[in-house]
Amino acid sequence: MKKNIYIVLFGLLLSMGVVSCDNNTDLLFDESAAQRKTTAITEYNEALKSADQGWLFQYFPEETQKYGGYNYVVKFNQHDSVTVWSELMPDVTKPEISFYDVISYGGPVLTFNTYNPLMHYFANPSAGEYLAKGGDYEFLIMSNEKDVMTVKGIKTGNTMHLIKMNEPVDVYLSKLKGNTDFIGQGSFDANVDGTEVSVQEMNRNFTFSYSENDEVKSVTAPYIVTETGLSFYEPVEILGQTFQDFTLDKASYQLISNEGDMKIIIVIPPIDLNQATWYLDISTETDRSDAVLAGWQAAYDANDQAWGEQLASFIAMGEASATYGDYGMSFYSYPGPYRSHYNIAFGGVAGHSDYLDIIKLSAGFNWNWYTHLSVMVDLVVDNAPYIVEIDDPEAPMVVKLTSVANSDVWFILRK
Amino acid sequence: MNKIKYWLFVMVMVFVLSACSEDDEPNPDESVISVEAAEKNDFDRYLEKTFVDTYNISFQYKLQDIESDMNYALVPASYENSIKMANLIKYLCLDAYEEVAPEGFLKKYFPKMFMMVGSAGWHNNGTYTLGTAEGGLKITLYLINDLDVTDVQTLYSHYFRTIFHEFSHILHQTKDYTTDFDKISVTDYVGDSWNDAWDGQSSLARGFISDYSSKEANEDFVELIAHYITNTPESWDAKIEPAGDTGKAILAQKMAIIKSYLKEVWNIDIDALRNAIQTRAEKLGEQDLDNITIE
Repeated sequence: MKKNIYIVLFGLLLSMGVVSCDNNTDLLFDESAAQRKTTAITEYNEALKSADQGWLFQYFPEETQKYGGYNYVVKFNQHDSVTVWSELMPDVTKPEISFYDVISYGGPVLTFNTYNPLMHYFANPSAGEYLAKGGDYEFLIMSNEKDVMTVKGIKTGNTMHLIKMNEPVDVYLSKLKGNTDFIGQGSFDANVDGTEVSVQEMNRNFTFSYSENDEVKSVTAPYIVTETGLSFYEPVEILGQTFQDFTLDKASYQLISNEGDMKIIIVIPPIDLNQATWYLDISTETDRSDAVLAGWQAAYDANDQAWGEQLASFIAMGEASATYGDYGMSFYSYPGPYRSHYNIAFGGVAGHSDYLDIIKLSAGFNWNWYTHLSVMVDLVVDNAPYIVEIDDPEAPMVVKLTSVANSDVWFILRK
Repeated sequence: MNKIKYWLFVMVMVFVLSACSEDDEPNPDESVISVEAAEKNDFDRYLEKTFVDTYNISFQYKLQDIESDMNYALVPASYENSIKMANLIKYLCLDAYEEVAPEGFLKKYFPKMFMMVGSAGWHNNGTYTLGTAEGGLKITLYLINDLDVTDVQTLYSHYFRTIFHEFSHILHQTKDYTTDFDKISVTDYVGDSWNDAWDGQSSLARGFISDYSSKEANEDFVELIAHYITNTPESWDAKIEPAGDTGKAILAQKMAIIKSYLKEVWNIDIDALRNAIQTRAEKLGEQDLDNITIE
């Protein structure tokens, strides 16, 4: 018995010795982890530099994509420099140049590491926006396939794409601008398979509302304008169908879904009030109805009660402040005068080329101090849509708005 | 028989234990840590020569935001303003110390790393951080994209007082000053409530050159140095005038200790240092701050 135990023990030890010395195990990779990491970074860097016309960068700032998407063109040069164009730049012949790098940080990370006014636009903080507009400038590179590089914003986690350009940047950006302007000239209406879907648009985000199984549903889709139309940030399901990419058909004023059956109709209003500052002067008797005067009077009294201030008789509408990008209605309160603003959208009404719809968007500049003026905003919004009469369609100076539902509500806007 | 078994056992054990020793040596020629060497540009070469070789200071102008606090939104500094700031630090600070300090002083004691940030470090209450220092080694300067080289007072308040402040911390942490200094305002230090302890009152009248000075003796000590050398004799007198006789007497007592400390411990005449900085500040307009030619 003892002998057998010894034999087994020897056998075991010997087999251990023999097996442990097998140095012929194959390595999974030919290179070490460090070498592979360096190789990956070099490859991505070479790929970035390989695009002679640069890359289209479909950029979505902020983790909920609340500003929608913006197009950049980035061209990676020798000596770590990068040339940046943006659809927001006023002059495409003046790109901004700065530095970039591809570094290793839990994976290959593309970083724009010296200041570039265009590339860091959404990331630059201020007193009012201490977290800026939540823009990324460091991106984890996920993949590079068929001239499309997929990256992920380090701060936002947003998935974004760099697409190799095959035409000159100025040509491409002017095409995009054409589409942006065309899409931006109206308000929207939509249908899925013939079923009506209502649409609100703000900051490159669509909000679609519709009924499904007697339930009112609402879905928000951040979008970016593309060469052919527009694309949602990610696929969105409406009435059982999934949508992401749309083709702009200028002839029919429609954005038509590439997959499924959805049409977003661009409704052109009879006048684009946002192109100028218009004034409604309550003190001019012939410029407003009694119902409008009553609404203003209520706002005047509320303002007197709240602050002991006098509400100005004129109200700015349309582009109320170009400096602050405020569109909607601005009120002035004396002494000061203090301006307070409510963001409002002016849109068309499908099937009625002379109708103007007015929709509330959000509280604006100083509004938190002047919420008591809502009575006047509500009067204007609640009586929409309006029939529009324009003095001269070529060069409008005087516009009369009369409520479709209540002809007692009318007012005249003057430039 | 048992002996044979014993020897056999030992031999097998030796075989087993020694079997795997052959190829497991790491290769000393191959590092497992790879550092991707970014391509060096003219500014990098200038920094290498002016800051690294001369003073062993690393000047970082390319921001790695991924390593910073994600609760802040920061943007990188512009390349052009980083060049200006590097030259300003050299001209207004390093060269000024060089004029009055002993040989090798800066290389040995000056903070080892500068980090440039383009924006301010904004907080959610509308205030912002101007500069931070980590362990006296790394100084981060913010607002580099707003740099205005024609405004000396803002240069002092936004950037240079931070640098002089942090550098002075390194000095007293290396060789401490006399405890006599601590005793002067011992009952007036307010600790972390320095920011709101002086509402409507003057910290200056209690012998503090800034509200932050009243935090504790060490901060008081370095704030005095930073403010003293960023003022001309005239502007210093004007600055401390509102302190009144009591405040001025306290400040004079503290300054006397600082002067003798710097002289005796570091062989630096603070008035000569102030003079060097102020003379340089006067001639700032004549400097080419965009120059990155290696001499």
